[in-house]
Amino acid sequence: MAHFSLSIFAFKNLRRKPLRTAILSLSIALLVAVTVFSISFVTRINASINKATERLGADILIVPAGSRGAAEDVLLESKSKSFFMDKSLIDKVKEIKGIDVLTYQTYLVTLTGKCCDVPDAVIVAFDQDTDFIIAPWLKEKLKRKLKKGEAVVGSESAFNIDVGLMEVDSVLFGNVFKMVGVLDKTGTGLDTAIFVSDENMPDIIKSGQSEIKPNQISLMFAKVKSGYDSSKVAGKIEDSIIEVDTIARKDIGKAMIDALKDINRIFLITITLACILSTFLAWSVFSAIANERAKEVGIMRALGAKESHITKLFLTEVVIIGAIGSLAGVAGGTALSIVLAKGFTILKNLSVDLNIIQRSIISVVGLCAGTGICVSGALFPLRRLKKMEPLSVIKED
Amino acid sequence: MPFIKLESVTKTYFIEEQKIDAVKNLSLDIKRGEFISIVGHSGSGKTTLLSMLGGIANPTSGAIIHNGVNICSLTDESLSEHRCQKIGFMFQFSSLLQMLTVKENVLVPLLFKTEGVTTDDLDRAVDLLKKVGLEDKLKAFPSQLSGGQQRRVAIARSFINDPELILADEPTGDLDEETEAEMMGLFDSMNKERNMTFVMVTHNSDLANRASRRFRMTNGIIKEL
Repeated sequence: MAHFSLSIFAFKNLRRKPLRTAILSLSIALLVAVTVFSISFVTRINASINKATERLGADILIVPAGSRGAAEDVLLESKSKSFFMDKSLIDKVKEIKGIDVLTYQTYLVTLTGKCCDVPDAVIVAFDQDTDFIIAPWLKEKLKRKLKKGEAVVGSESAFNIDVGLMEVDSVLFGNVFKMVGVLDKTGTGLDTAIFVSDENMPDIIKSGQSEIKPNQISLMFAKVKSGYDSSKVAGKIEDSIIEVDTIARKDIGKAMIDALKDINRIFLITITLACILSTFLAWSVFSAIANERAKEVGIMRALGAKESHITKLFLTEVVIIGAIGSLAGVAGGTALSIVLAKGFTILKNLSVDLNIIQRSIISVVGLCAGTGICVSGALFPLRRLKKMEPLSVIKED
Repeated sequence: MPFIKLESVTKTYFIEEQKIDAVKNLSLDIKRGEFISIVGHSGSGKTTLLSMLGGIANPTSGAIIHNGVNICSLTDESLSEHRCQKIGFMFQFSSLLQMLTVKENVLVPLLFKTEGVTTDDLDRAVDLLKKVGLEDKLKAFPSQLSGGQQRRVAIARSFINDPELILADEPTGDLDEETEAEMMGLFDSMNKERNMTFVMVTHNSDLANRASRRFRMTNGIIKEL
């Protein structure tokens, strides 16, 4: 019958000291909230970097010397930056052994009210003949190449310039462009960009409203031939051409990952200290509970309770406290990771948010951590409690 | 074969390095269905003897054989099962669990049985509480009861698992004369109708005289009266 069981007994025990139960649950909730927030923070950055590099589809990025950071800012964090190198470097890179295909892009930063009538964004001019970065998305959405005077916008930019339902005209660097489509979300910083064909560049340069000079590009994307190591090819490019820096695929976002390592360390230390503190708190609370209940446990043992019954009763209480605290912590940590993300520059500019599966996994980790710590703190008091000789604790009264 | 046989049972405590023999070389046979009373001064070893009979304390030496089984050699798990199925305890002190209602307190021993609490058990708990005159207190908590009422709940609880041996330590200590007589009537009927064996410790010589066999304990030594 469900009217009375060890679980109901455990629930009733928890209601004896509601304030103490609430404080312990709250401390577990805070620990779990910090854990969930930290893991969400780090996972989101890692996911953004991984997704961006995967979507770019290039093995090596070739950028002007000293512009690695700026390139990553544009590609990973949606920051508006421009940097240039001479277009003739394309031929030099092509000569490097191991390069399979190569394309280039030019990034121009718009300034509202000065050159353009769109909000601040990066205009990406790309070569449609060699491109393998934008082409797959364009083929899917537009089903044709861009014409001169046409532009497509990234999914995030579309919100800013009301594109999507109808074709609109915008002035970019003194030239009128017809916005003909919106790309699907790519998970890269290019989601906030506006894409035009490279054949528009002479007119843009002619307008004199951009800082770019003739025969300049911003970066090159290269794929290496099968059997070649992209890191070695990238090194060879840097050794041979002094005007460029390279970023191998696995190193894209490395600067951010390095910075993240320090943040990770801070989170790890905070979480470890919080875990130790919570374990001690759980231990002291459950030790107090064990002392209070010693006589009751003695009576129950005299009435026929086995050690396993005492364990089940005590652990049910512990798990309930841990689970309530952990659930609250998961909710709080998730809310924090969403709300506070808007206040962290590093997160604000990331294009990828965590999906439901990632959030679920982080929640499960939080739940296990909170409940596990509660159980760990209760193990010693429980061991002492169940090993007590019934008569000795009964006679203590 | 006696229902319970105590063979040279000794229980020694050490308090601040001082050796105290609470029970000394005690041998006793108890038949099934007997009602035994034990009188004696405080500290004479009565409660220690009851605790050893109920398996909540181990003798320092000797053996306690219950239905052919030496309970001193049982594992903790088997001993717990033995207590759950065969023993009913009435403690000297208030032994109710404060966060449980009267009815739940009576049902507690059944939580430790393998099959758990059944609807029949619920009815039986209510029936026992009627027998001790507390049918109107089913949902009350111990803190809402008088000492005597709490004692009666503990009496009802000791019968819930239909034990073959009742160990009662001053079971009527907090009761008025009328209720005491009613409880003793209940003990008699359980003893006769259900053939339950009673070992009762009391200071009350009138109550002790109602037993089929009477003993006195002095300084850990038992003597039949």
